[in-house]
Amino acid sequence: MARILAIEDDATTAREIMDELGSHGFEVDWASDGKAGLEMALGGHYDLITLDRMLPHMDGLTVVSLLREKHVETPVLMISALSDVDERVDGLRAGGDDYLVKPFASEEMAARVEVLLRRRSRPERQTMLRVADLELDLVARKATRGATVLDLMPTEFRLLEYLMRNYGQIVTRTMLFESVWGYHFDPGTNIIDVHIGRLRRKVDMPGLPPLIHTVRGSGYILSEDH
Amino acid sequence: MKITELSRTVAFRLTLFYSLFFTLCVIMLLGFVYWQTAAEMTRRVDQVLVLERNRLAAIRPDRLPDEIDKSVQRDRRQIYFYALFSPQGSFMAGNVPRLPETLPVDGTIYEVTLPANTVQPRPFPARMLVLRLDSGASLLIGHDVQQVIEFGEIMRRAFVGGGLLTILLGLVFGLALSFRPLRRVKQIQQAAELIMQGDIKERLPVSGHRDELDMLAATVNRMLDEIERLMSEIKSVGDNIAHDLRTPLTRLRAILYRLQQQLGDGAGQRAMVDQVVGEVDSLLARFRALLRISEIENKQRRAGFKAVQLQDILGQAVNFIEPLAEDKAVALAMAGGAVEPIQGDSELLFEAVVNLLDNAVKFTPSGGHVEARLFQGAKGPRIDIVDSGVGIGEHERSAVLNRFYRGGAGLQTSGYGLGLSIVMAIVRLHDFGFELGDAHPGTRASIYCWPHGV
Repeated sequence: MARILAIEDDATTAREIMDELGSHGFEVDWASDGKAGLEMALGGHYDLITLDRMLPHMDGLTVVSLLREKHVETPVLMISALSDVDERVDGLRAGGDDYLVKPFASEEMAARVEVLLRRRSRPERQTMLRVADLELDLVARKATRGATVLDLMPTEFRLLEYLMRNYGQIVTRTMLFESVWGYHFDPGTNIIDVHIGRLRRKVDMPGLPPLIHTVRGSGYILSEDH
Repeated sequence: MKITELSRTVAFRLTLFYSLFFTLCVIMLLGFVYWQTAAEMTRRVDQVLVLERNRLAAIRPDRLPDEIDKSVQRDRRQIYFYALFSPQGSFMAGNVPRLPETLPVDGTIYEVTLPANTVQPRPFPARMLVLRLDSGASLLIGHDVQQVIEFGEIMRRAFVGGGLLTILLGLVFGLALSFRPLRRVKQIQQAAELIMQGDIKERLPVSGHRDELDMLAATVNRMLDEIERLMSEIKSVGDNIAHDLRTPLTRLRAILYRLQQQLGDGAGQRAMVDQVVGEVDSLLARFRALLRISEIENKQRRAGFKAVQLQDILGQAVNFIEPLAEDKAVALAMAGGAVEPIQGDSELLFEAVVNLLDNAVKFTPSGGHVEARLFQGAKGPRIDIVDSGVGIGEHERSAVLNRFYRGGAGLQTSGYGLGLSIVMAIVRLHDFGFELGDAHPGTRASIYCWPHGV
């Protein structure tokens, strides 16, 4: 069971994080200021840290850069009320692994935590991704389902790659938009759903067990069984 | 500055009015002088004529022709007229060969014009009297009044010349005097234009002369300070509301989400909970957009701007929206070639184009088409998003833009959502221009990618 440290000065938000991650089966500890959080992070062997950007005593950016200085490579999810792109860049440059803007939907936060946790246990430099009979050759830029070669547009290929890298995990629309298109605003419409719909028609051909599933209220999941 | 503009200033009109008034006064003064002088000159002539009449009337009739000849000879300047006619009317002596017909023979002085060839080849004015002597002969005595007429002529030339010169000088001075105030009014106008275009920090120029324009500018500036303060208050109240409501709404959504997960697919309430989650999501999206607008507006202009290839941005945006168009059977195309790179925020420009394309697809019925066009204009690149949809009426168009013009993002024109407000905020941040036009049929939304000085 993964252990998570939530460094967050707002008690309500902290409770929310603990409840949500608790319901996902994680063990969550809470630190209410930057200094205490840093000490716990250095000594506690956590699998992941959620870190508020603005904290009393020591701000989030300092905490994460001190951690990285001391070679603590625990994945850090930065949480901040500052949504500006520059703030995001600062957060990631200081050593954060992902950046979530407050207020956040708790399942969005949980989905990001899951993805960060799993990222470590999977090799980054794969050239071939496989889920059931779906194969993605990253070198040849070729996708096949069983014996059928899938004719994918570049965007669809990147979408499928992201889903396959995170198979078995919920990915939200925001996560898809950020990682596939590289932008960080709210695209507003159901445009991500439309893109997924297109991909799904190509991947989940009639008669085959579907691999891409909608998770109501939060996002999508690529998995064999659902 | 145009002459017509200068000639409409208060300074010009006042100067011209005063110079006209002055001319009138001078004319009246000169007229009075002329009238007085002419009367005096006439009176003197008449006095001389009466003296001559008395002198000649006293001379014996037989010596009168000689005396008349002598008088004529004495008059070197040739300004006196004498003549003696027999009772039968024949000329006896003097320098006027014929008796003017219009002149009554009653000894009273009249002003007559001697016809041509009477004394001189040309006609000329004189004051004359004719007296019937006891002998029955007629005695004519006259005096040339050419001088009085000439004096009048001089006066008239003075009126016309002086009057014209005064008016001309008045015009020149008027223009010169109105130049400076007009230039300052123009400066004030330019500043006001900037303020109207949304640069609420701009102020009217104050020259420091403490004149009436300065007084006015200072008052307007104080008013602008107050308006700016009120606007920022309203804006921050709006932002705070959006900010404060967002957190509880997010929590509400979290609870609903948990409820949604707990209810099985078959549960009767599931559909209702789904609907509620959808509504909360659209509420949250709206708050996000509101805060996004103020976030963009608060950005430091040009901080973090980089060279941006618009054709890449447009291509990406078209690819991004394309499935949406395909689902709706709307043809989406891109036209136009490479344009010069511009300085900008590529992420924000992408967001703006996506919003415009999204709106265009939304308002275009199935079977229609949407086109993203890119041109290189003389001043810079221009992006047109043209659709074949229902279009926006001209009146509605300006309402859409005006409403969203200055952070009026809270207002929502039916169907346009906050997308256009975000586009406007991005365009303003870049100092670009934005226009909604008619595409006959449909709508054309244009972003003019060059500095507009706002």
